[in-house]
Amino acid sequence: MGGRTTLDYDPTGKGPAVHLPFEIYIEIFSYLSFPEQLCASIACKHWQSVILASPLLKRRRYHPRPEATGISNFHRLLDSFSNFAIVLQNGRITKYNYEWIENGGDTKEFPGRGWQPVIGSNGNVVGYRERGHWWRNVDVPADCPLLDEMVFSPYIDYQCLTGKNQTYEAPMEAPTLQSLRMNAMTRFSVELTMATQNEKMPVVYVTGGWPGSTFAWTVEENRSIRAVGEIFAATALASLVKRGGFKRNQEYEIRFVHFRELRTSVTGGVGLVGTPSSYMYRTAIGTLRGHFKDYELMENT
Amino acid sequence: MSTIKLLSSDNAELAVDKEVAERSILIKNMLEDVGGDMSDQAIPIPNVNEAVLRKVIEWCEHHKSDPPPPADEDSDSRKKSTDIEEWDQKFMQVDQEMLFEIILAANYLDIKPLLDVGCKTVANMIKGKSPEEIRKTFNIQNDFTPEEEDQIRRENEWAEE
Repeated sequence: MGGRTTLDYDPTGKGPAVHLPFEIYIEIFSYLSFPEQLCASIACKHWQSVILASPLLKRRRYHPRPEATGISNFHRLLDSFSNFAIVLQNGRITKYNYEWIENGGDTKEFPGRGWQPVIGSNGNVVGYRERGHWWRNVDVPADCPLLDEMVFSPYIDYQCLTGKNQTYEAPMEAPTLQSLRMNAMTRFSVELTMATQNEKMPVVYVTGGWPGSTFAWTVEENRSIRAVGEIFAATALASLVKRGGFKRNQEYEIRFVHFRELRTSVTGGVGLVGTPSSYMYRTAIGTLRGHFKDYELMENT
Repeated sequence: MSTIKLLSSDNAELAVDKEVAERSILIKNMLEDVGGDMSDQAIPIPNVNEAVLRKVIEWCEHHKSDPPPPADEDSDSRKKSTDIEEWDQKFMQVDQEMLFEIILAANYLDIKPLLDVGCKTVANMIKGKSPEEIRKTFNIQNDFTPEEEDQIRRENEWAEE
């Protein structure tokens, strides 16, 4: 496998004979949104290496404008118009499913499941539409490196998270935030596996939005659904504990980021993430498993 | 209007208006370096074959009186539009190999607007597709084998502890 450096590799010899240089791929990919980058990065190793290595493309994976989100440089994976599901099979995480909405108006053909087809002037199906938006989703391998990027870009204005400073002037590093990565989700799945292994739940889907939005998890075909915002907190904390960032059995205040409500709800604190008041609560690492037990109990009733 | 000659990699000599050829910054600089008079001597374009060079010249002909492109400001944070004007869309309706060759030629000859159109065209071929559809479109093999994925995962776990 080593030594192959072009994306146009094709064992049948029928693929494009033309190999584009690295910088041209960056140029091409710079026109892609985050979900499109994600899809391209799954297509093949070379594309993935380009997408991961380019700082320009990486910056594009974060929200650039504070006024749009309330905070700067938040990873687009947690976009308010996307959903992120963990798919566990036999107690083992097998893949993620990423769903997102694209604004209407594009005429590209999107494959969809049961959405209304949109017929173009030439009589062809040009896409699928639901409530004026394009709904799309893609299965993402469990180890896709784009999912393991930091929630916050290293250049985040940490002050704006605590509400002390809303001017977004001087970006500074926030070491505790750097430990919080996308793979908090993976950590969570590990814990969840422990909780569900004895429960004969071969398939567990956890769907969620961005931190602070209503997380819901579904066990075996929608039999139980419950907001699990706290799971994200537990997850994030578990991840931090593993990395030595927090101490076990010590109380921390958890805050979620909710883009739209951030400005009115943030009051400062430990600064894991910000939150609207409805999600603000206190928890302890020692009760992590307790949370999952709750869900097991719920499943049994 | 003065005419210059270009020599393709496969030794075809193409006569082009100087104004048209100067859409290529490479050629423009070259002509400036030699004082402008290349009327009796063909400029070798060693990286571009005749078919591709003809396409590139066709594009330059059509765009010869375009204003110079605006300087890139802050290109990495703003979302870039992939809109392509109609003539360019038709121009880019070529097979994939030709499309990629045009991009390479535009890159080599330093014709930024043509390079942009080419890259946008490829980006539009990626947009709205699943990874599998992308592979089909570009005839790419899925080179993520399950064993390798497992290996990567284990290595990562080790690195994180």
